[in-house]
Amino acid sequence: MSRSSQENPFDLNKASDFTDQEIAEQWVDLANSAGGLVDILNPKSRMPMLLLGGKGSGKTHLMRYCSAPVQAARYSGDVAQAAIADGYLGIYIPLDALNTDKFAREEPVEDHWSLVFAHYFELWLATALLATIRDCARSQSLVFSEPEFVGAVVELFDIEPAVALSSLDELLDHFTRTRKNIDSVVNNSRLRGERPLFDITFSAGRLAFGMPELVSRHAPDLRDVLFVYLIDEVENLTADQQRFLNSLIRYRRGSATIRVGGRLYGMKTLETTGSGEPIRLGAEFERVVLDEILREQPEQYDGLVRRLVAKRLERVGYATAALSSIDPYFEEVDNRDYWRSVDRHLPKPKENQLAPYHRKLATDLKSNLDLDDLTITTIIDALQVPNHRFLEKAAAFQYRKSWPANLDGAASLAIEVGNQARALDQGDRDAGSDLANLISHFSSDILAQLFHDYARRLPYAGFATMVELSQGITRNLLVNLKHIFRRSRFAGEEPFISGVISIKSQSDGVRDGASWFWEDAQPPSGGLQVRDAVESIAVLFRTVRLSHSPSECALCAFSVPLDALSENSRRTLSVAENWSYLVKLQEGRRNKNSKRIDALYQLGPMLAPRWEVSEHRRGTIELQQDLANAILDPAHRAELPNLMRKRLARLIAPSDSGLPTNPRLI
Amino acid sequence: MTEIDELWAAEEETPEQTWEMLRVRITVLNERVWENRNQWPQVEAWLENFDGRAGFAPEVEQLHALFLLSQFLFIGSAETRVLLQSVYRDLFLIPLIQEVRATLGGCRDPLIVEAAVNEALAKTRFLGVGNPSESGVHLLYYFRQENRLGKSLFLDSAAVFMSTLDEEGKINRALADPDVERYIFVDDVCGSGDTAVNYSDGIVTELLALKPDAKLHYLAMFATRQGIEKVRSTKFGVGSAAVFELDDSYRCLSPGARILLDAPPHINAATLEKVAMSYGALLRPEFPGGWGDNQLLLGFQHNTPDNSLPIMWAEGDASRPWTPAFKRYAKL
Repeated sequence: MSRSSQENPFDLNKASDFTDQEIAEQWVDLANSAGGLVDILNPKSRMPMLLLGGKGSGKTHLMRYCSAPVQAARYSGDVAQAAIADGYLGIYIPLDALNTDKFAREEPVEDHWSLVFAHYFELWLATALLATIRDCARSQSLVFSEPEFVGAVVELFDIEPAVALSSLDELLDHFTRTRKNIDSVVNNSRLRGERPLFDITFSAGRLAFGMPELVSRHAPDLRDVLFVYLIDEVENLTADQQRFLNSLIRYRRGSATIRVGGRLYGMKTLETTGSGEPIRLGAEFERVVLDEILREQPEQYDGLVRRLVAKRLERVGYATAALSSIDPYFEEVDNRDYWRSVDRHLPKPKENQLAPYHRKLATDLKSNLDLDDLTITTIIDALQVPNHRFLEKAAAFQYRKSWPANLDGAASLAIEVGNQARALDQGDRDAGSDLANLISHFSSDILAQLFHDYARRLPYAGFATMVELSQGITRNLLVNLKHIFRRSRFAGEEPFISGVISIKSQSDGVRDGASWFWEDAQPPSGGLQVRDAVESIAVLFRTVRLSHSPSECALCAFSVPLDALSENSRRTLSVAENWSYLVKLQEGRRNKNSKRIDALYQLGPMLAPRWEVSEHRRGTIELQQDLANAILDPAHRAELPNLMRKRLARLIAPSDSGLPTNPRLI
Repeated sequence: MTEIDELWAAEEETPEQTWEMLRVRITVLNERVWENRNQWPQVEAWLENFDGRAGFAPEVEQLHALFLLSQFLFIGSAETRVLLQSVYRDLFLIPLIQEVRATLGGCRDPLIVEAAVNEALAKTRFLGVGNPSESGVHLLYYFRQENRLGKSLFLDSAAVFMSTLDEEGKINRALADPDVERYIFVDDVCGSGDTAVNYSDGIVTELLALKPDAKLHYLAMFATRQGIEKVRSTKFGVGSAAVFELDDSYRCLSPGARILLDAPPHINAATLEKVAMSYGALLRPEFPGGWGDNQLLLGFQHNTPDNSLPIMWAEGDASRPWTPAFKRYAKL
């Protein structure tokens, strides 16, 4: 092995932690014939683009992969040749909050401060562009008329620099000093409580769009090259600052264009400076949500992450694992023969002691139908499936779903359901067809209930499950794998060397990952109310899943009438979506009563293990206006207990038992 | 509890959930603090010692053992080095500066004070407690490194004295360096205080007989309150100190044990004591709660003191096998 086998291959998972060389080396792409991830960014198109996505979806990696230093790394360090071959040159500019905060002012922002930021921001872009142009000009293979280019750039200024500039180094030095001067003036003016004052030396757009045109003129080989400003982390800009960026998008011209990277709701406004008229989607910019694209192409995403994992394994020396299929390294829950294998993950049954699900059933039969002990024993005996706890549990589940209306039906129902379960145990699918049909819908819930009955944590295992949990966000997968790897090592396993990573290590790892996801994503404003809301939703799902008679199988999504919700509720939903606690499903869901299309949200699969709810996109529950507002809007939260009880009463306890006086949510 | 809290109240935790929570805690401890000494297979091997001999179901005994393990205070190499800096800086150097300034009439001139401190330091010798193979002496190497001290400031206890034969063939004992005014004895942990008392009765008594005005200090990284009080009552005197003084709440089986303040569900104080003491009695009948019945849950990267519970560090024999969690390298 080239590196220590102690090293966790998944430790690094932020693109900003990588060097340019590592960005190039760690790159993996989609395998579709229509082009890969670079085609999503489409850097050869003049149309500006907002590249949005959840945290860790790969926006920064993609933008940096298309930036000049990484382009150069793919062409033996020759940035000019890279630009010519690729047809574009990426200028990557991460919007460091430390650098933008000092210009931030509360709305409405005085013109003075807007002007200060606009001037500084363009100088920031121009400095990054000029540094890249200088790298290009150094290429041996490029004919570049440096003094003429510099002279032409000087002409772009309204006020000529005080000293004569004749080289790119001098020009870049002039840009840098001008920026530093503004930094100093702004920092100190804030300290003194004054407005910063300095000369505006060029008009808006002149440098950012003027310089690329001059490059085409003075370096003929680069005339077909498009200069792409890759502006990352746009969420760090205030709405007023974004207005200037939007103006640049509107008034872009010549051989320069813009890609803006940011969180899903990183763009606070689409308005421009001056009139405020918003930029128009389709006509003036495109909008791409990276993780949404990856979620919509699960096969492509699956291939992408497999290649990514192989690269990581190869990097730390797990050569054999890197070259082979990854799946066999992850132990899976064997679902053959109706999950007969889960028995070994449960405590051993005790002699002369009822299984916990039968104990609970006996209690409910007594309190609900007032059955005598002998009848209850007959019923429980009829539901026994020796040596197959999944089927035995499934029979109890079916019995509860069909709950007998009266005393007479109680025993016969048990015999019928028990017979079906035992038939399935014997391999007779026809004789057990009703139960088989129920299992095909509710298997994951029956499994969840079974583990819950025995106070065991629900297993999450198999590489495919890990991919599904990551919700189209590569960093989520890497974080989960990082934790799985460390859990596996602690358990004394040898991950990716010999044997398999146990189900337990995988389950422990994804729970660690879920905790990280929950704790790491801390929405800055109103975070607590958003987390309360998400937790309420998760508890609702979990309670339904573990209830007496779940109404939906594998519940993981809810639909809401967005227009009918309070402003606060809508805001909670949007923040939760922005932080990937919730995933908005584009298809929506038709409302059962009004036939309108309601908005549809899935609980972020990364969080599913935290509450042991389903990670699969399957069951959906409709939240009516009052319950939705009670969950999502703190002003309505006092109504939640009653509404929640009402909504769940029939699911939590047998149907004829009436409203339970104090149902417990799980 | 508000209505919402009541509605959201979690179900009562099961012993399995407590087990799982402790396992998670130990995963993190092992990774972050224990320098990967106890991976789960090692923990399991240790847990297998608890097989029902204390009178409870093995799973109950193992749950309580796991809880004790999750409370074990392990001092790794990085922490040891920082503690040794603290021993020097906080327990020795700062009091010395204060003393020097007092003798200089409260002088505030840094140059004058520094010169006087350096002079006092040159007349100081650091010694480990125990013979050269023991942990107190072993620590001196790191103590010197961390505090950037010169080699000449260290002695082993044998080098404190010099023996000469007089004309009549009689052996005369004298101090090897009569100019030395301070002797600082460094130790890792002071549990019962017995080691320091033995020292006080031996080498310290002899040293004071030869130089009655010598200043003596016993300094440790950790000390139980009773242990350090005992040391202060010896010839080492009140200048004896520890970075961490452990009060009675660190006696992990005592009624006021701090580990019980936030014990998880299904951990019972009486069961905990019975399990620890029953197996402790099998392993070390003379001190089942650790030497001096200190009942510590403390170990160092270089060794585990015998003041900690024997169930943590003891090794069994052929007739009574026992796998330790943090092995102790005993003095033979």
